[in-house]
Amino acid sequence: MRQLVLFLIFVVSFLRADALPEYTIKAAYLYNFALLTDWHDGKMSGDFNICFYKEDFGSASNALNNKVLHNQNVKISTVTTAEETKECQIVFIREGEEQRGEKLIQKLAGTSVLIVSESPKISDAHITMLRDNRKIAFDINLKPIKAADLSVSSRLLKLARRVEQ
Amino acid sequence: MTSSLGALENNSATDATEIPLEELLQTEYIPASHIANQISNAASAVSIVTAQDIKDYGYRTLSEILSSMRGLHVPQSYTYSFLGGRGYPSNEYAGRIIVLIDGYRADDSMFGQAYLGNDGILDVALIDRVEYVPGGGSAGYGDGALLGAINIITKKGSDISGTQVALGFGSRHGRQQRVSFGEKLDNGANLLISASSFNANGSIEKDGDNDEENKRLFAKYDAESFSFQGAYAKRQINHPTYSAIDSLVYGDENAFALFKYNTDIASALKLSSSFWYGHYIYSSDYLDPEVYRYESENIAQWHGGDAKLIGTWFDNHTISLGVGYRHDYRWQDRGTSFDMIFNDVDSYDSSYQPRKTYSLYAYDDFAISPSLSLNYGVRYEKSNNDVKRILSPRASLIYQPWDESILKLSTGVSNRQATQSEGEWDKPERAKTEELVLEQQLGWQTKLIGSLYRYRISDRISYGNTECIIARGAEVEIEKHWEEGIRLRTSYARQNTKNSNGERLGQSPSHLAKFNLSTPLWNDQLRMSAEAQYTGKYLPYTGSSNYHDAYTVVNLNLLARKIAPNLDINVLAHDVFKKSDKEKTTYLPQSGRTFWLQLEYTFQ
Repeated sequence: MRQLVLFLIFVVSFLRADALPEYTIKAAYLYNFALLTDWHDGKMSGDFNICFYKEDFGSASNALNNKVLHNQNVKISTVTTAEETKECQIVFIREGEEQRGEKLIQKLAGTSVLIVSESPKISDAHITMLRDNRKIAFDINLKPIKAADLSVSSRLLKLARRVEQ
Repeated sequence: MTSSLGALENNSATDATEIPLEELLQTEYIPASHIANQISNAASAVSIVTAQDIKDYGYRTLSEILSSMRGLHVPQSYTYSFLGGRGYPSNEYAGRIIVLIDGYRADDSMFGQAYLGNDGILDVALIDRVEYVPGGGSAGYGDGALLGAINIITKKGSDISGTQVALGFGSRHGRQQRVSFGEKLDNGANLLISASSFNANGSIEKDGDNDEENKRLFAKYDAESFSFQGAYAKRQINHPTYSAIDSLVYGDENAFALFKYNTDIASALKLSSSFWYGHYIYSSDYLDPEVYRYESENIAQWHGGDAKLIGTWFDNHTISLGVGYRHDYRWQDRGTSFDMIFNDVDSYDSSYQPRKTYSLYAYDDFAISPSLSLNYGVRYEKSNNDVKRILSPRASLIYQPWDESILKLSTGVSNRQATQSEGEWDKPERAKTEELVLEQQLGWQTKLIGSLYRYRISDRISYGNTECIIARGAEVEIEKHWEEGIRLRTSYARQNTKNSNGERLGQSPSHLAKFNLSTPLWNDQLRMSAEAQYTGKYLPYTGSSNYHDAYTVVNLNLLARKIAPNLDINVLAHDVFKKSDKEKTTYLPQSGRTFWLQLEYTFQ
């Protein structure tokens, strides 16, 4: 037992506690993506809808509640159909929903919804958050962003790991 | 410990949206994990253990993995681990549930054993996931999957990405070494090669009585349309004997080679095929120095193939048609005795009639509506022995009234032919199974599984009795993952098995409960995982009037990830409160409290 305690002390002395839960970070990213993207007029009034396809981030999504983005009140909701999703400014598609996610993206063509995913298998997403060496990085896919009539700031482009033109 | 958990809570309470984006990019994350979805297309209540669980709980054998699963109990003898579940006794469950490694059937055809301990064919460090599919599985997997299947999926080269060296040290002079190399090659294929060895001075008895050692090799090349893999394992164990002079050593050697080929024949037609070779050799060597020696071997060899066409020509139907072939072409017993006093040598060598089994099968996965589907199918098997033909049908109805709930109702008939060691039987053992399963999502990463089942097993192939048995049970399991990286899985199983005389079966506890909790203590770098496994009282054998006491085994594992660059260390305490020793009162003595320290270094 004593050896175990000594071992523990040895282990703990190596560690730092500055990491955050994955979805706390991802929620903060969603907030920043929203902050650094401009929507066309039709979506610049009313609530600012941050939507989660099928499933949200659990309590980590609460960080987005009661925020104000582009002078709009943030409302978070879970969506399951393309019709519902068209009302959103941002939709997040999680890992494990690749097949249905791709179909959803097809149906959203031409609407100004910023599509964010966390799965590299969803190739048509606008922004993909990826686990990269213990940190979360993101890739930006510009072509569908332009097609959706959205514009992302140069600051966001500069911080992306990869920007696909 | 409390302070670090407190730190974690503080972390999650911080408003991360206040953190500048530049800083977010540099923030390390504590991985959240999603509850694993089953891969197997089965309508029963599947249990899943992933590579992450194996690492976090420090599992070292397949029996430790299975012990954590709902409704299973895995007692050990001096030499083997035995699997019991769904009311079926642990001393008879083996051979009635099959083990599949990437689709290859790994249980041997001589004794029908699954090899769950250090005798197992795979080092658990190579396992990506284990899915236990309870219930009759003959329609899907063939004769033998009477009460279910354990599906093992091995890792890919890219899961290792480099060269990994692992060293383990543990109780009773336990030592383990492993070297694995894995990489995704430039052509997109994955290559994995691994070699490992283990030795200990006895897992159960006092030092020296129960020496055990094994060696394992594994290789897998996995390209887009085809894959090739091979594995070899040999375990030797010294069975404790009564005198200090004589010795009895058992050997178990398992090997296989598997080739798989998949291709799209047309836009709506896929071909999936596999070919395999396998062998198993059981050996025993009894030596009373200068008096007597008796060496014997039982050898089984088999090969086979399977080809399946999967068609999606019709809307809402996925149709599979397949043919299979298995040739158990060698079953041989041989042995030699040496009487050193009278200088007398005696030997025997007998081979048994080989067995060929052909199978034909067809399944249809029919989506009646978006919320209702019907899976049904049948497998027909024909062997060149007294059994002649076997029919295994199944059907299941899957209803998803809304996104969060799935109801599955299934029924089927499964069969098992006698293994070679059981001798000639003119009828297969049959199980008629019915199961109702509810899978309910209860909010974020929270899932409940409930199951009710009834099995009727008839034409039993069993020493001394052929009466039918009826097993009934209810199971419930809750799994929850928190975003902070905490994972909980807990289950309870109630089972009741009686034979036609109304007697409760031996080695079949009525109550089994499991509790698994894994939590980060400090970022994701230090993680503690604890499990408790309750085995209710049970009769040591059918007809016994005395119950064996209930007991709870508690295991604890502490994992430090990247404690130094590329180095992971874990410390495992198995049976912390030394409760399984109680088993010593029966003929299945358990290992008691043991410790294990493992270091794993990955060169990248």
